[in-house]
Amino acid sequence: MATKRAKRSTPARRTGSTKPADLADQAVITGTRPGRVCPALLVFYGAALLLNAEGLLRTAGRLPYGPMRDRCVAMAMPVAHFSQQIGISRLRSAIESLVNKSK
Amino acid sequence: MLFPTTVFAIFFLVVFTGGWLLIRQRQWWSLFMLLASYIFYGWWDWRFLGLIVFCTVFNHAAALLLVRHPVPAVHRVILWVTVAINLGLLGFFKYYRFFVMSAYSACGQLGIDCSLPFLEIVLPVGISFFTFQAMSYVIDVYRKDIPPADNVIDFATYLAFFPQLVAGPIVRASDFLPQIRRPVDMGRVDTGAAAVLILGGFFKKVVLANMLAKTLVDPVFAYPEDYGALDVLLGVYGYAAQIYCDFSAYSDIAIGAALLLGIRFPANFNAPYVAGSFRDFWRRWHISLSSWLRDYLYIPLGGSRAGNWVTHRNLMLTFLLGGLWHGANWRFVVWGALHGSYLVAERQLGRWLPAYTGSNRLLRALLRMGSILVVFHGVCLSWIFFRAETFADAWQLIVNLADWRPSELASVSAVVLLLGGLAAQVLDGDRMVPAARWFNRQHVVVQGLLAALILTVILGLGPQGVAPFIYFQF
Repeated sequence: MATKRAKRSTPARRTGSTKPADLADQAVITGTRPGRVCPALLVFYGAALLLNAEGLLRTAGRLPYGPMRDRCVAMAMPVAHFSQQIGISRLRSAIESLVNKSK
Repeated sequence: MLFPTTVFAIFFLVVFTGGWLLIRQRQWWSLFMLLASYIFYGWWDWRFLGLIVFCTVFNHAAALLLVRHPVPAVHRVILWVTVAINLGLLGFFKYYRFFVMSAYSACGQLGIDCSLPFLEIVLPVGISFFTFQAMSYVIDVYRKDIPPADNVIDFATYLAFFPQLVAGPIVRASDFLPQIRRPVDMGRVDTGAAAVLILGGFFKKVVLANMLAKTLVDPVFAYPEDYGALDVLLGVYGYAAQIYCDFSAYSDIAIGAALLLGIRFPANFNAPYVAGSFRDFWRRWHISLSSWLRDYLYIPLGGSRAGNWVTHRNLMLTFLLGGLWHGANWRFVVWGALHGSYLVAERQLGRWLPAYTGSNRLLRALLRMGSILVVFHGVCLSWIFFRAETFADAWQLIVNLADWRPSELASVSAVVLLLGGLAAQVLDGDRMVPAARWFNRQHVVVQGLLAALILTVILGLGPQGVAPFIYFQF
Protein backbone atom coordinates (compact mmCIF):
# COMPACT_ATOMS: atom_id res chain seq x y z
CA MET A 1 0.00 0.00 0.00
CA ALA A 2 2.81 2.35 1.01
CA THR A 3 4.70 1.52 -2.16
CA LYS A 4 1.58 2.19 -4.18
CA ARG A 5 1.12 5.59 -2.55
CA ALA A 6 4.76 6.51 -3.06
CA LYS A 7 4.53 5.50 -6.71
CA ARG A 8 1.43 7.60 -7.23
CA SER A 9 2.99 10.77 -5.84
CA THR A 10 6.21 10.79 -7.85
CA PRO A 11 6.75 14.14 -9.59
CA ALA A 12 6.97 12.54 -13.04
CA ARG A 13 3.58 10.98 -12.56
CA ARG A 14 1.99 14.11 -11.15
CA THR A 15 3.37 16.39 -13.83
CA GLY A 16 2.24 13.82 -16.39
CA SER A 17 5.55 14.22 -18.14
CA THR A 18 5.33 12.44 -21.47
CA LYS A 19 7.98 9.85 -22.22
CA PRO A 20 11.05 10.96 -24.15
CA ALA A 21 11.31 10.38 -27.89
CA ASP A 22 11.63 6.62 -28.25
CA LEU A 23 13.98 6.85 -31.19
CA ALA A 24 16.25 9.31 -29.39
CA ASP A 25 16.20 7.10 -26.33
CA GLN A 26 17.26 3.87 -27.92
CA ALA A 27 19.83 4.85 -30.50
CA VAL A 28 22.12 6.45 -27.90
CA ILE A 29 23.82 3.11 -27.27
CA THR A 30 25.65 3.38 -30.58
CA GLY A 31 25.93 7.19 -30.85
CA THR A 32 28.87 9.19 -32.19
CA ARG A 33 31.47 10.99 -30.05
CA PRO A 34 30.86 14.78 -29.91
CA GLY A 35 34.34 15.52 -31.24
CA ARG A 36 33.50 13.53 -34.38
CA VAL A 37 30.10 15.09 -34.95
CA CYS A 38 31.61 18.42 -35.99
CA PRO A 39 33.62 16.84 -38.86
CA ALA A 40 30.52 14.87 -39.87
CA LEU A 41 28.50 18.09 -39.93
CA LEU A 42 31.21 19.85 -41.96
CA VAL A 43 31.27 17.01 -44.49
CA PHE A 44 27.46 17.17 -44.62
CA TYR A 45 27.41 20.94 -45.15
CA GLY A 46 30.17 20.83 -47.79
CA ALA A 47 28.59 17.98 -49.73
CA ALA A 48 25.09 19.46 -49.45
CA LEU A 49 26.41 22.82 -50.68
CA LEU A 50 28.03 21.29 -53.76
CA LEU A 51 25.16 18.94 -54.55
CA ASN A 52 22.59 21.72 -54.30
CA ALA A 53 24.65 24.67 -55.56
CA GLU A 54 22.47 25.24 -58.61
CA GLY A 55 19.35 25.21 -56.46
CA LEU A 56 20.96 27.72 -54.10
CA LEU A 57 21.79 29.96 -57.05
CA ARG A 58 18.19 29.75 -58.26
CA THR A 59 16.91 30.60 -54.76
CA ALA A 60 19.31 33.56 -54.55
CA GLY A 61 18.15 34.73 -57.98
CA ARG A 62 14.53 34.76 -56.77
CA LEU A 63 15.27 37.14 -53.89
CA PRO A 64 13.92 40.71 -54.23
CA TYR A 65 16.26 42.98 -56.19
CA GLY A 66 18.73 44.77 -53.93
CA PRO A 67 22.16 44.46 -52.30
CA MET A 68 21.17 41.30 -50.38
CA ARG A 69 20.24 39.53 -53.62
CA ASP A 70 23.48 40.69 -55.28
CA ARG A 71 25.58 39.39 -52.40
CA CYS A 72 23.76 36.03 -52.30
CA VAL A 73 24.09 35.58 -56.09
CA ALA A 74 27.77 36.59 -55.94
CA MET A 75 28.41 33.96 -53.26
CA ALA A 76 26.36 31.18 -54.89
CA MET A 77 27.65 31.75 -58.44
CA PRO A 78 31.23 30.39 -58.07
CA VAL A 79 30.04 27.39 -56.04
CA ALA A 80 27.41 26.58 -58.69
CA HIS A 81 30.03 26.99 -61.41
CA PHE A 82 32.46 24.67 -59.60
CA SER A 83 29.68 22.16 -58.96
CA GLN A 84 28.82 22.17 -62.68
CA GLN A 85 32.47 21.77 -63.67
CA ILE A 86 32.98 18.68 -61.57
CA GLY A 87 29.56 17.33 -62.60
CA ILE A 88 28.24 16.90 -59.07
CA SER A 89 25.20 19.06 -59.78
CA ARG A 90 23.86 16.42 -62.20
CA LEU A 91 22.34 14.37 -59.39
CA ARG A 92 19.82 17.02 -58.37
CA SER A 93 19.13 17.92 -62.00
CA ALA A 94 18.39 14.26 -62.73
CA ILE A 95 16.00 14.03 -59.79
CA GLU A 96 14.27 17.24 -60.80
CA SER A 97 13.83 16.10 -64.37
CA LEU A 98 12.51 12.78 -63.07
CA VAL A 99 9.63 14.58 -61.33
CA ASN A 100 9.26 17.19 -64.11
CA LYS A 101 10.09 20.01 -61.74
CA SER A 102 10.17 23.37 -63.51
CA LYS A 103 13.18 25.53 -62.79
CA MET B 1 13.69 31.65 -39.84
CA LEU B 2 12.24 28.44 -41.26
CA PHE B 3 13.89 25.07 -40.65
CA PRO B 4 14.38 23.95 -44.28
CA THR B 5 16.26 27.10 -45.37
CA THR B 6 19.89 28.04 -45.98
CA VAL B 7 19.77 30.74 -43.30
CA PHE B 8 18.74 28.19 -40.68
CA ALA B 9 21.43 25.76 -41.89
CA ILE B 10 24.16 28.40 -41.32
CA PHE B 11 22.62 29.48 -38.01
CA PHE B 12 22.48 25.89 -36.77
CA LEU B 13 26.11 25.16 -37.65
CA VAL B 14 27.24 28.18 -35.60
CA VAL B 15 24.98 27.28 -32.66
CA PHE B 16 25.97 23.61 -32.74
CA THR B 17 29.71 24.41 -32.70
CA GLY B 18 29.35 27.07 -30.00
CA GLY B 19 27.08 24.86 -27.94
CA TRP B 20 29.50 21.94 -27.84
CA LEU B 21 32.47 24.20 -27.12
CA LEU B 22 30.60 25.51 -24.06
CA ILE B 23 29.03 22.22 -23.02
CA ARG B 24 31.11 21.86 -19.84
CA GLN B 25 30.34 25.40 -18.65
CA ARG B 26 26.61 25.05 -18.14
CA GLN B 27 25.94 28.70 -17.30
CA TRP B 28 27.73 29.90 -20.42
CA TRP B 29 25.98 27.23 -22.44
CA SER B 30 22.61 28.48 -21.16
CA LEU B 31 23.48 32.08 -21.95
CA PHE B 32 24.73 31.16 -25.43
CA MET B 33 21.60 29.14 -26.20
CA LEU B 34 19.44 31.98 -24.91
CA LEU B 35 21.15 34.51 -27.19
CA ALA B 36 20.88 32.13 -30.14
CA SER B 37 17.20 31.55 -29.40
CA TYR B 38 16.52 35.29 -29.20
CA ILE B 39 18.29 35.80 -32.54
CA PHE B 40 16.16 32.99 -34.01
CA TYR B 41 12.97 34.58 -32.68
CA GLY B 42 14.01 38.16 -33.45
CA TRP B 43 14.76 37.15 -37.06
CA TRP B 44 11.00 37.07 -37.58
CA ASP B 45 10.20 40.32 -35.70
CA TRP B 46 12.60 41.67 -33.09
CA ARG B 47 9.88 43.85 -31.51
CA PHE B 48 8.22 40.79 -29.97
CA LEU B 49 11.39 39.87 -28.08
CA GLY B 50 10.12 42.27 -25.39
CA LEU B 51 7.06 40.05 -24.99
CA ILE B 52 9.03 36.88 -24.44
CA VAL B 53 11.45 38.68 -22.06
CA PHE B 54 8.49 40.02 -20.05
CA CYS B 55 6.90 36.58 -19.96
CA THR B 56 10.20 35.10 -18.72
CA VAL B 57 10.91 37.64 -15.98
CA PHE B 58 7.33 37.76 -14.76
CA ASN B 59 6.84 33.98 -14.55
CA HIS B 60 10.22 33.35 -12.94
CA ALA B 61 9.53 36.05 -10.34
CA ALA B 62 6.14 34.44 -9.64
CA ALA B 63 7.79 31.01 -9.20
CA LEU B 64 10.37 32.45 -6.78
CA LEU B 65 7.63 34.22 -4.85
CA LEU B 66 5.74 30.94 -4.60
CA VAL B 67 8.64 29.18 -2.88
CA ARG B 68 9.75 32.11 -0.75
CA HIS B 69 6.48 33.50 0.54
CA PRO B 70 5.75 32.01 3.97
CA VAL B 71 1.92 32.26 3.82
CA PRO B 72 0.35 29.36 1.87
CA ALA B 73 -2.90 31.29 1.29
CA VAL B 74 -0.94 33.87 -0.70
CA HIS B 75 0.40 31.11 -2.99
CA ARG B 76 -3.04 30.56 -4.45
CA VAL B 77 -3.40 34.28 -5.16
CA ILE B 78 0.03 34.37 -6.84
CA LEU B 79 -0.90 31.38 -8.97
CA TRP B 80 -4.22 32.83 -10.12
CA VAL B 81 -2.70 36.24 -10.86
CA THR B 82 0.11 34.60 -12.87
CA VAL B 83 -2.26 32.37 -14.84
CA ALA B 84 -4.58 35.34 -15.45
CA ILE B 85 -1.75 37.53 -16.76
CA ASN B 86 -0.45 34.75 -19.03
CA LEU B 87 -3.94 34.12 -20.39
CA GLY B 88 -4.45 37.88 -20.65
CA LEU B 89 -1.35 38.17 -22.87
CA LEU B 90 -2.53 35.29 -25.01
CA GLY B 91 -6.06 36.68 -25.09
CA PHE B 92 -4.95 40.14 -26.13
CA PHE B 93 -2.58 39.12 -28.91
CA LYS B 94 -4.48 36.12 -30.20
CA TYR B 95 -8.15 36.59 -29.40
CA TYR B 96 -8.81 40.34 -29.12
CA ARG B 97 -9.99 40.70 -32.71
CA PHE B 98 -12.00 37.48 -32.46
CA PHE B 99 -13.85 38.58 -29.31
CA VAL B 100 -14.50 42.08 -30.65
CA MET B 101 -15.86 40.69 -33.92
CA SER B 102 -17.98 38.11 -32.08
CA ALA B 103 -19.34 40.83 -29.74
CA TYR B 104 -20.16 43.05 -32.74
CA SER B 105 -21.93 40.21 -34.46
CA ALA B 106 -23.91 39.28 -31.31
CA CYS B 107 -24.87 42.93 -30.70
CA GLY B 108 -25.94 43.28 -34.33
CA GLN B 109 -28.19 40.23 -34.07
CA LEU B 110 -29.77 41.55 -30.89
CA GLY B 111 -30.26 44.96 -32.48
CA ILE B 112 -27.96 46.68 -29.99
CA ASP B 113 -25.63 49.41 -31.23
CA CYS B 114 -22.23 48.82 -29.59
CA SER B 115 -18.91 50.45 -30.39
CA LEU B 116 -15.81 48.60 -29.29
CA PRO B 117 -12.23 49.73 -29.97
CA PHE B 118 -10.91 47.84 -32.99
CA LEU B 119 -7.14 47.22 -33.10
CA GLU B 120 -5.04 45.54 -35.77
CA ILE B 121 -2.87 43.23 -33.69
CA VAL B 122 -0.08 41.12 -35.16
CA LEU B 123 -0.02 37.60 -33.69
CA PRO B 124 3.44 36.92 -32.25
CA VAL B 125 4.75 33.61 -33.56
CA GLY B 126 4.79 30.86 -30.94
CA ILE B 127 2.87 32.80 -28.26
CA SER B 128 0.49 29.86 -27.69
CA PHE B 129 3.44 27.59 -27.04
CA PHE B 130 5.60 29.72 -24.77
CA THR B 131 2.70 30.99 -22.63
CA PHE B 132 1.56 27.40 -22.06
CA GLN B 133 5.11 26.40 -21.12
CA ALA B 134 5.34 29.34 -18.72
CA MET B 135 2.01 28.46 -17.09
CA SER B 136 2.94 24.81 -16.67
CA TYR B 137 6.19 25.88 -14.97
CA VAL B 138 4.45 28.12 -12.43
CA ILE B 139 1.71 25.54 -11.77
CA ASP B 140 4.31 22.78 -11.26
CA VAL B 141 6.24 24.99 -8.82
CA TYR B 142 2.96 25.77 -7.01
CA ARG B 143 2.17 22.05 -6.78
CA LYS B 144 5.74 21.46 -5.50
CA ASP B 145 6.33 19.02 -8.36
CA ILE B 146 9.49 20.87 -9.39
CA PRO B 147 11.75 23.46 -7.76
CA PRO B 148 12.09 26.80 -9.56
CA ALA B 149 14.91 27.21 -12.08
CA ASP B 150 18.31 27.96 -10.53
CA ASN B 151 18.39 31.36 -12.19
CA VAL B 152 16.49 33.47 -14.66
CA ILE B 153 18.88 32.57 -17.52
CA ASP B 154 18.08 28.85 -17.18
CA PHE B 155 14.36 29.59 -17.17
CA ALA B 156 14.70 31.99 -20.10
CA THR B 157 16.59 29.29 -22.03
CA TYR B 158 13.83 26.79 -21.27
CA LEU B 159 11.12 29.16 -22.45
CA ALA B 160 12.90 30.38 -25.59
CA PHE B 161 14.94 27.30 -26.64
CA PHE B 162 14.79 27.77 -30.40
CA PRO B 163 14.07 24.24 -31.70
CA GLN B 164 10.64 24.23 -30.03
CA LEU B 165 9.98 27.96 -29.62
CA VAL B 166 7.59 28.65 -32.47
CA ALA B 167 5.62 25.44 -32.94
CA GLY B 168 6.35 23.08 -30.04
CA PRO B 169 6.45 20.41 -28.79
CA ILE B 170 5.25 22.00 -25.52
CA VAL B 171 8.15 20.86 -23.36
CA ARG B 172 7.65 20.71 -19.58
CA ALA B 173 10.09 22.41 -17.23
CA SER B 174 10.36 19.05 -15.42
CA ASP B 175 11.72 17.54 -18.65
CA PHE B 176 13.98 20.42 -19.67
CA LEU B 177 15.48 22.07 -16.57
CA PRO B 178 17.11 18.94 -15.09
CA GLN B 179 18.91 18.46 -18.41
CA ILE B 180 20.61 21.85 -18.25
CA ARG B 181 21.37 21.48 -14.53
CA ARG B 182 23.37 18.27 -14.85
CA PRO B 183 26.52 17.89 -16.95
CA VAL B 184 25.88 16.40 -20.38
CA ASP B 185 27.12 12.91 -21.10
CA MET B 186 30.07 13.63 -23.33
CA GLY B 187 30.32 10.00 -24.42
CA ARG B 188 27.93 9.97 -27.38
CA VAL B 189 25.77 12.19 -29.54
CA ASP B 190 22.82 10.48 -31.17
CA THR B 191 23.70 11.49 -34.71
CA GLY B 192 21.77 8.50 -36.08
CA ALA B 193 18.57 9.35 -34.24
CA ALA B 194 19.00 13.05 -35.01
CA ALA B 195 19.64 12.36 -38.71
CA VAL B 196 16.62 10.07 -39.00
CA LEU B 197 14.41 12.61 -37.24
CA ILE B 198 15.68 15.66 -39.16
CA LEU B 199 15.87 14.08 -42.62
CA GLY B 200 12.60 12.22 -42.05
CA GLY B 201 11.06 15.53 -41.00
CA PHE B 202 12.41 17.29 -44.10
CA PHE B 203 10.99 14.52 -46.29
CA LYS B 204 7.58 14.76 -44.65
CA LYS B 205 7.50 18.55 -44.92
CA VAL B 206 9.29 19.36 -48.18
CA VAL B 207 8.08 16.43 -50.27
CA LEU B 208 4.88 14.99 -48.82
CA ALA B 209 3.15 17.91 -47.07
CA ASN B 210 4.00 20.48 -49.74
CA MET B 211 3.02 18.20 -52.63
CA LEU B 212 -0.21 17.09 -50.95
CA ALA B 213 -1.10 20.74 -50.41
CA LYS B 214 -0.33 21.70 -53.98
CA THR B 215 -1.95 18.79 -55.80
CA LEU B 216 -4.93 17.79 -53.65
CA VAL B 217 -5.72 19.99 -50.67
CA ASP B 218 -5.42 23.61 -51.81
CA PRO B 219 -7.55 23.25 -54.97
CA VAL B 220 -10.39 21.45 -53.16
CA PHE B 221 -10.50 23.83 -50.19
CA ALA B 222 -10.11 26.94 -52.37
CA TYR B 223 -13.06 26.11 -54.69
CA PRO B 224 -15.21 23.55 -52.81
CA GLU B 225 -18.20 24.04 -55.13
CA ASP B 226 -16.16 22.88 -58.14
CA TYR B 227 -15.46 19.37 -56.87
CA GLY B 228 -17.55 16.24 -56.49
CA ALA B 229 -17.52 13.53 -53.85
CA LEU B 230 -14.38 11.71 -54.99
CA ASP B 231 -12.32 14.89 -55.20
CA VAL B 232 -13.62 16.12 -51.84
CA LEU B 233 -12.65 12.79 -50.30
CA LEU B 234 -9.20 13.05 -51.86
CA GLY B 235 -8.86 16.63 -50.61
CA VAL B 236 -9.96 15.80 -47.07
CA TYR B 237 -7.87 12.62 -46.83
CA GLY B 238 -5.05 14.67 -48.35
CA TYR B 239 -5.40 17.30 -45.65
CA ALA B 240 -5.38 14.63 -42.95
CA ALA B 241 -2.08 13.38 -44.38
CA GLN B 242 -0.74 16.90 -45.01
CA ILE B 243 -1.34 18.26 -41.51
CA TYR B 244 0.16 15.11 -40.00
CA CYS B 245 3.25 15.31 -42.25
CA ASP B 246 3.62 19.06 -41.72
CA PHE B 247 3.24 19.20 -37.96
CA SER B 248 5.00 15.95 -37.11
CA ALA B 249 7.83 17.09 -39.43
CA TYR B 250 8.31 20.26 -37.37
CA SER B 251 8.24 18.24 -34.15
CA ASP B 252 10.73 15.70 -35.51
CA ILE B 253 13.13 18.38 -36.75
CA ALA B 254 12.83 20.17 -33.39
CA ILE B 255 13.51 16.93 -31.47
CA GLY B 256 16.42 16.05 -33.78
CA ALA B 257 17.99 19.53 -33.60
CA ALA B 258 17.66 19.58 -29.80
CA LEU B 259 19.21 16.12 -29.66
CA LEU B 260 22.28 17.36 -31.55
CA LEU B 261 22.55 20.15 -28.95
CA GLY B 262 22.43 17.60 -26.12
CA ILE B 263 18.77 18.08 -25.09
CA ARG B 264 16.05 15.41 -25.25
CA PHE B 265 12.47 16.34 -25.98
CA PRO B 266 9.45 14.10 -25.48
CA ALA B 267 7.86 12.54 -28.57
CA ASN B 268 4.93 14.49 -29.98
CA PHE B 269 3.39 11.95 -32.41
CA ASN B 270 2.99 8.22 -32.53
CA ALA B 271 1.21 7.04 -35.68
CA PRO B 272 -2.08 8.81 -34.85
CA TYR B 273 -4.10 7.44 -37.78
CA VAL B 274 -3.80 3.85 -36.62
CA ALA B 275 -5.61 4.74 -33.39
CA GLY B 276 -8.46 2.33 -32.64
CA SER B 277 -10.38 4.83 -30.51
CA PHE B 278 -10.61 8.59 -30.17
CA ARG B 279 -9.02 8.32 -26.74
CA ASP B 280 -6.15 6.45 -28.34
CA PHE B 281 -5.96 9.10 -31.07
CA TRP B 282 -5.31 11.81 -28.47
CA ARG B 283 -2.55 9.69 -26.95
CA ARG B 284 -0.85 9.70 -30.35
CA TRP B 285 -1.60 13.16 -31.83
CA HIS B 286 0.16 16.31 -30.52
CA ILE B 287 0.97 14.41 -27.34
CA SER B 288 2.55 17.42 -25.63
CA LEU B 289 -0.65 19.50 -26.02
CA SER B 290 -3.07 16.71 -25.11
CA SER B 291 -1.07 15.83 -21.99
CA TRP B 292 -0.87 19.56 -21.11
CA LEU B 293 -4.64 19.91 -21.41
CA ARG B 294 -5.13 16.74 -19.38
CA ASP B 295 -2.83 17.79 -16.53
CA TYR B 296 -3.62 21.49 -16.30
CA LEU B 297 -7.25 21.63 -17.37
CA TYR B 298 -9.10 18.30 -17.45
CA ILE B 299 -7.80 16.89 -14.14
CA PRO B 300 -8.11 20.21 -12.20
CA LEU B 301 -11.72 20.43 -13.47
CA GLY B 302 -12.34 17.10 -11.78
CA GLY B 303 -11.38 14.70 -14.57
CA SER B 304 -13.42 11.53 -14.49
CA ARG B 305 -13.67 11.38 -10.70
CA ALA B 306 -17.07 13.00 -10.18
CA GLY B 307 -19.60 10.97 -12.11
CA ASN B 308 -20.64 10.59 -15.69
CA TRP B 309 -22.19 13.99 -16.35
CA VAL B 310 -19.28 15.94 -14.85
CA THR B 311 -16.79 13.82 -16.82
CA HIS B 312 -18.64 14.59 -20.06
CA ARG B 313 -18.76 18.29 -19.19
CA ASN B 314 -15.01 18.26 -18.43
CA LEU B 315 -14.23 16.50 -21.71
CA MET B 316 -16.31 18.99 -23.70
CA LEU B 317 -14.78 22.01 -21.91
CA THR B 318 -11.23 20.69 -22.38
CA PHE B 319 -11.73 20.14 -26.10
CA LEU B 320 -13.63 23.38 -26.69
CA LEU B 321 -10.75 25.29 -25.12
CA GLY B 322 -8.25 23.04 -26.91
CA GLY B 323 -9.96 23.98 -30.16
CA LEU B 324 -9.85 27.66 -29.33
CA TRP B 325 -6.15 27.32 -28.49
CA HIS B 326 -5.52 26.48 -32.14
CA GLY B 327 -6.91 29.72 -33.44
CA ALA B 328 -9.25 32.61 -32.89
CA ASN B 329 -12.09 31.31 -35.02
CA TRP B 330 -15.38 29.52 -34.37
CA ARG B 331 -14.28 26.82 -36.86
CA PHE B 332 -11.64 25.69 -34.36
CA VAL B 333 -14.25 25.67 -31.61
CA VAL B 334 -16.40 23.39 -33.77
CA TRP B 335 -13.36 21.20 -34.39
CA GLY B 336 -12.82 20.96 -30.61
CA ALA B 337 -16.54 20.35 -30.02
CA LEU B 338 -16.50 17.47 -32.51
CA HIS B 339 -13.57 15.82 -30.75
CA GLY B 340 -15.17 16.40 -27.34
CA SER B 341 -18.40 14.84 -28.63
CA TYR B 342 -16.52 11.88 -30.08
CA LEU B 343 -14.90 11.20 -26.72
CA VAL B 344 -18.18 11.57 -24.84
CA ALA B 345 -19.96 9.26 -27.33
CA GLU B 346 -17.13 6.73 -27.19
CA ARG B 347 -17.20 6.72 -23.40
CA GLN B 348 -20.94 6.24 -23.37
CA LEU B 349 -20.84 3.51 -26.02
CA GLY B 350 -18.11 1.75 -24.08
CA ARG B 351 -20.50 1.49 -21.13
CA TRP B 352 -23.28 0.00 -23.25
CA LEU B 353 -21.32 -2.23 -25.63
CA PRO B 354 -18.84 -4.62 -24.06
CA ALA B 355 -15.49 -5.02 -25.88
CA TYR B 356 -15.03 -8.24 -27.87
CA THR B 357 -13.01 -10.70 -25.79
CA GLY B 358 -13.40 -13.81 -27.93
CA SER B 359 -10.53 -15.75 -29.47
CA ASN B 360 -11.48 -15.41 -33.15
CA ARG B 361 -8.44 -13.65 -34.66
CA LEU B 362 -10.15 -12.76 -37.92
CA LEU B 363 -13.07 -11.13 -36.13
CA ARG B 364 -10.67 -9.32 -33.80
CA ALA B 365 -8.66 -8.00 -36.78
CA LEU B 366 -11.84 -6.93 -38.59
CA LEU B 367 -13.11 -5.11 -35.50
CA ARG B 368 -9.75 -3.41 -35.09
CA MET B 369 -9.70 -2.37 -38.76
CA GLY B 370 -13.27 -1.12 -38.49
CA SER B 371 -12.53 0.97 -35.43
CA ILE B 372 -9.42 2.46 -37.10
CA LEU B 373 -11.56 3.44 -40.11
CA VAL B 374 -14.30 4.95 -37.95
CA VAL B 375 -11.80 7.00 -35.94
CA PHE B 376 -9.95 8.12 -39.08
CA HIS B 377 -13.16 9.31 -40.74
CA GLY B 378 -14.33 11.05 -37.57
CA VAL B 379 -11.01 12.88 -37.46
CA CYS B 380 -11.27 13.71 -41.18
CA LEU B 381 -14.72 15.23 -40.64
CA SER B 382 -13.26 17.48 -37.95
CA TRP B 383 -10.38 18.46 -40.30
CA ILE B 384 -12.92 19.90 -42.75
CA PHE B 385 -13.82 22.60 -40.20
CA PHE B 386 -10.18 23.01 -39.24
CA ARG B 387 -9.02 23.69 -42.79
CA ALA B 388 -11.98 25.33 -44.57
CA GLU B 389 -11.86 29.11 -44.93
CA THR B 390 -15.46 29.59 -43.79
CA PHE B 391 -18.36 27.59 -42.38
CA ALA B 392 -20.07 27.93 -45.75
CA ASP B 393 -17.08 26.27 -47.44
CA ALA B 394 -17.01 23.49 -44.86
CA TRP B 395 -20.72 22.87 -45.35
CA GLN B 396 -20.31 22.92 -49.14
CA LEU B 397 -17.62 20.24 -48.88
CA ILE B 398 -19.86 18.06 -46.73
CA VAL B 399 -22.81 18.52 -49.11
CA ASN B 400 -20.61 17.70 -52.11
CA LEU B 401 -19.84 14.32 -50.58
CA ALA B 402 -23.19 13.27 -52.01
CA ASP B 403 -22.41 14.66 -55.46
CA TRP B 404 -20.92 11.83 -57.52
CA ARG B 405 -19.45 13.36 -60.64
CA PRO B 406 -16.27 12.46 -62.56
CA SER B 407 -13.11 13.23 -60.63
CA GLU B 408 -10.68 15.94 -61.75
CA LEU B 409 -7.92 15.18 -59.26
CA ALA B 410 -7.84 11.39 -59.09
CA SER B 411 -4.71 9.90 -60.63
CA VAL B 412 -2.22 7.19 -59.79
CA SER B 413 0.31 9.79 -58.60
CA ALA B 414 -2.30 11.47 -56.35
CA VAL B 415 -3.19 8.15 -54.72
CA VAL B 416 0.49 7.21 -54.30
CA LEU B 417 1.15 10.61 -52.71
CA LEU B 418 -1.80 10.23 -50.37
CA LEU B 419 -0.78 6.72 -49.32
CA GLY B 420 2.80 7.95 -48.91
CA GLY B 421 1.62 10.73 -46.61
CA LEU B 422 -0.30 8.26 -44.45
CA ALA B 423 2.51 5.69 -44.56
CA ALA B 424 4.93 8.32 -43.20
CA GLN B 425 3.60 7.34 -39.78
CA VAL B 426 6.02 4.45 -39.92
CA LEU B 427 8.74 6.99 -38.99
CA ASP B 428 7.11 7.58 -35.57
CA GLY B 429 8.02 5.91 -32.30
CA ASP B 430 10.86 3.41 -32.18
CA ARG B 431 10.26 1.91 -35.64
CA MET B 432 13.35 3.61 -37.09
CA VAL B 433 15.75 2.57 -34.31
CA PRO B 434 17.57 -0.02 -36.51
CA ALA B 435 18.16 2.67 -39.17
CA ALA B 436 19.46 5.11 -36.54
CA ARG B 437 21.79 2.49 -35.10
CA TRP B 438 23.06 1.54 -38.54
CA PHE B 439 23.75 5.23 -39.28
CA ASN B 440 25.63 5.60 -35.98
CA ARG B 441 27.92 2.71 -36.88
CA GLN B 442 29.12 4.42 -40.07
CA HIS B 443 32.28 6.51 -40.34
CA VAL B 444 31.70 10.23 -39.81
CA VAL B 445 32.54 11.01 -43.45
CA VAL B 446 30.04 8.41 -44.63
CA GLN B 447 27.46 9.86 -42.24
CA GLY B 448 27.97 13.39 -43.61
CA LEU B 449 27.91 12.27 -47.27
CA LEU B 450 24.88 10.06 -46.81
CA ALA B 451 22.90 12.81 -45.06
CA ALA B 452 23.84 15.28 -47.83
CA LEU B 453 22.75 12.81 -50.52
CA ILE B 454 19.40 12.16 -48.84
CA LEU B 455 18.85 15.92 -48.41
CA THR B 456 19.57 16.45 -52.11
CA VAL B 457 17.02 13.82 -53.09
CA ILE B 458 14.45 15.46 -50.79
CA LEU B 459 15.10 18.96 -52.17
CA GLY B 460 15.03 17.63 -55.73
CA LEU B 461 11.70 15.85 -55.23
CA GLY B 462 9.96 18.68 -53.36
CA PRO B 463 8.14 21.54 -55.06
CA GLN B 464 9.90 24.91 -55.49
CA GLY B 465 9.97 27.22 -52.46
CA VAL B 466 9.28 26.60 -48.78
CA ALA B 467 5.72 26.92 -47.47
CA PRO B 468 5.51 27.90 -43.78
CA PHE B 469 4.59 25.16 -41.31
CA ILE B 470 0.83 25.03 -40.63
CA TYR B 471 1.28 25.32 -36.87
CA PHE B 472 3.21 28.60 -37.16
CA GLN B 473 -0.15 30.38 -37.25
CA PHE B 474 -1.13 28.95 -33.87
